[in-house]
Amino acid sequence: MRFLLLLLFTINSYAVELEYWRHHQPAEYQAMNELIVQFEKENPHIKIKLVTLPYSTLVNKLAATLATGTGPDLINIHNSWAYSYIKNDLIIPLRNKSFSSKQIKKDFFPMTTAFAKEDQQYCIPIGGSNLAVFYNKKHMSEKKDLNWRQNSWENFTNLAKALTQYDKHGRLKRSGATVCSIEEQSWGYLLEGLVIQNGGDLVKNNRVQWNSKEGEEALRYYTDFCKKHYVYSYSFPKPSTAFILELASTTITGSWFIPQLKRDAPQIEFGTFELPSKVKKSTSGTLWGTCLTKKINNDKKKIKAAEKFLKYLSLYSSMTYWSEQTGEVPLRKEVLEDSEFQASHPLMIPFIKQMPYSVVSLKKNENKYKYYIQRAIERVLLQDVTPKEALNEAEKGVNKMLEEF
Amino acid sequence: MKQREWIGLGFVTPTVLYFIFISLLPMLYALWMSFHQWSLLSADSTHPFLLFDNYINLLSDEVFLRSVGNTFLYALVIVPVSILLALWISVMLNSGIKYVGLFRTIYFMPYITSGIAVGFIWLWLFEPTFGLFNKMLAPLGLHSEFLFSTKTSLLSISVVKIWKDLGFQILILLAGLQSIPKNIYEAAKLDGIKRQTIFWRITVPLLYPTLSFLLVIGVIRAFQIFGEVYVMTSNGGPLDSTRSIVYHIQETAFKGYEMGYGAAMTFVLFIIILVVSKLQQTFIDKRLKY
Repeated sequence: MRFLLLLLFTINSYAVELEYWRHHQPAEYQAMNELIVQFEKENPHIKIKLVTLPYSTLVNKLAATLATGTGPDLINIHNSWAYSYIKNDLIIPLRNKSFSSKQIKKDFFPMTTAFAKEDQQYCIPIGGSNLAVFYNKKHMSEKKDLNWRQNSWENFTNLAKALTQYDKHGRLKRSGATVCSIEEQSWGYLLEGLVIQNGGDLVKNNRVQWNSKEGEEALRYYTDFCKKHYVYSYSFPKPSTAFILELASTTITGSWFIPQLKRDAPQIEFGTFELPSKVKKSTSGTLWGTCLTKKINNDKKKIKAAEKFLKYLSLYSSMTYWSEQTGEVPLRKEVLEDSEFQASHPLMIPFIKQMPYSVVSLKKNENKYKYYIQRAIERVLLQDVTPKEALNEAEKGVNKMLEEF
Repeated sequence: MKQREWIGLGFVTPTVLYFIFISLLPMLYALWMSFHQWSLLSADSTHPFLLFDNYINLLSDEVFLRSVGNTFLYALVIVPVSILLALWISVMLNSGIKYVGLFRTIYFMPYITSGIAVGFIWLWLFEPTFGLFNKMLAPLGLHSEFLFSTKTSLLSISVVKIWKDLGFQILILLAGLQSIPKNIYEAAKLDGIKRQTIFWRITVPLLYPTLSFLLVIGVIRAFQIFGEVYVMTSNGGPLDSTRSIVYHIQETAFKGYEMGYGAAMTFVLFIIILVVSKLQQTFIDKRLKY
């Protein structure tokens, strides 16, 4: 009898297994595996089964399984998916006190609330990022007299112009700044960076606000890099490729680019600095968060175990480990004061400094939103439409999307 | 039933079952979805019935209409050019030159190569600043933006599609050419008929069944163009100039999760292909009565 009881107790205490789905990224996979090993050591009764899938497979598989109440217990989602997932009750609110709205606002950077609805937190990120400027040190050293550290819009344009090189036919040989692209993080830089820096708003009361004077100026500044200054071109290699091939002297992207550059282009000596600003400082933020799916909504034991895991992931020590492996910035405010971490990761400093004012705006349907913004940029660049007209066209499409969702 | 018929049924059954469960039932399910508001993410299992609303909305969906126009353009460029090119090459290969097998293999290689790999290679060939094609055009004082201009992007994608599928068409045409009895050519030569006349009066008419097959298959494949657009362009751009129907369906259904709306697009494509194929068949049937 005693033996049976002991056996039952043992089975019970080892019974919690949580399936956790993430998109596959080699560095993140290794780092998460290591964190899980440590977590399971400290919590031997909880087993985390990590499943990673290619991005496009994950997107469709999650949508198909979660809606039917099947699939994993824990998922890692991008901030742009949060609106749909919360609206359709595919993920459940966190109940643990450590994740209360008050606590989150106190301990974490503001962009963490991208995973909240009405003061209810749904997901916890382990890291995040924002956009800053990467520069090629060798190219920059050619222009020692440049006063580029002032970081104003005007100075950045002058820097880009000074660094650009052309061939004998007058065609672009080396880009000074990969601005005016429609690829990668460009639309985030335009909206959450330039429009807000210029004193504009993005969306209010479910209506677009960026088709304003501030928005027009932002789009004009953005497209002038191609149209007026010719320091980049629509058909030039995309920003990250151009920088890796040393065909661009500066590029604007997230901190995840630091490990990528060290791995793919170890020969490049590079530095980072904060985004140039105008009326105020602003940059585009991005983050992924781990959430509990509705599948475990009625399983108290699993919820408890899952929240314990989230607490572990949100420890400052877990975040700094994650940061070192992936290039993402720890999302706890402690990092602002952590001089030791900053001293050992100097390239991260601009990203850390920008964290308090990084913007993650609500996009509802990111795919459609991005489509209309990219279209506005292309209309100005390829069809000589004025920024005002291009933004007014985009506004119609985005407002329709905001109403529908 | 006779034993022989039972055996026949046994052979046919796996294929019929496969067709029913893998093609027919999902097709009917998609048709049913197309009459509903069906979001993949929605936990609401009721899926409101819309009747023809999804189809009516398509008529005012500018991006969809653009993708339909583009798809017809793809078919108009790809099909005639690829068939004429394949006919020319296969006639040359059939003219008794050495190493026919080697050439056939070379031409067939792109067809069996991964579309994604092909797309990436051509992407770099077309690259406006550092790509091979512009380097070759430079001494002539020419330059093209290829995939980055609304004027040349669709043509650039079409070139890749033609190149990739050419091997298949050559293979089929070679088989067609080799099935033409040699004594017909010998008789024509004895009568002193010119090579050009032989080609137009003997070769082409006897190749009609092969050409008609390639025409129908070519149009269907052109209407289904997707991989090249997906790999080589940024969201079917610039400014939707390369966006095909299938690309738009993929984006609507699997990126936007609007499965009902996407299913409606699929059935519009199905109807377009059905009508075009039927028209071709009617036209070809008349021509085949020689």
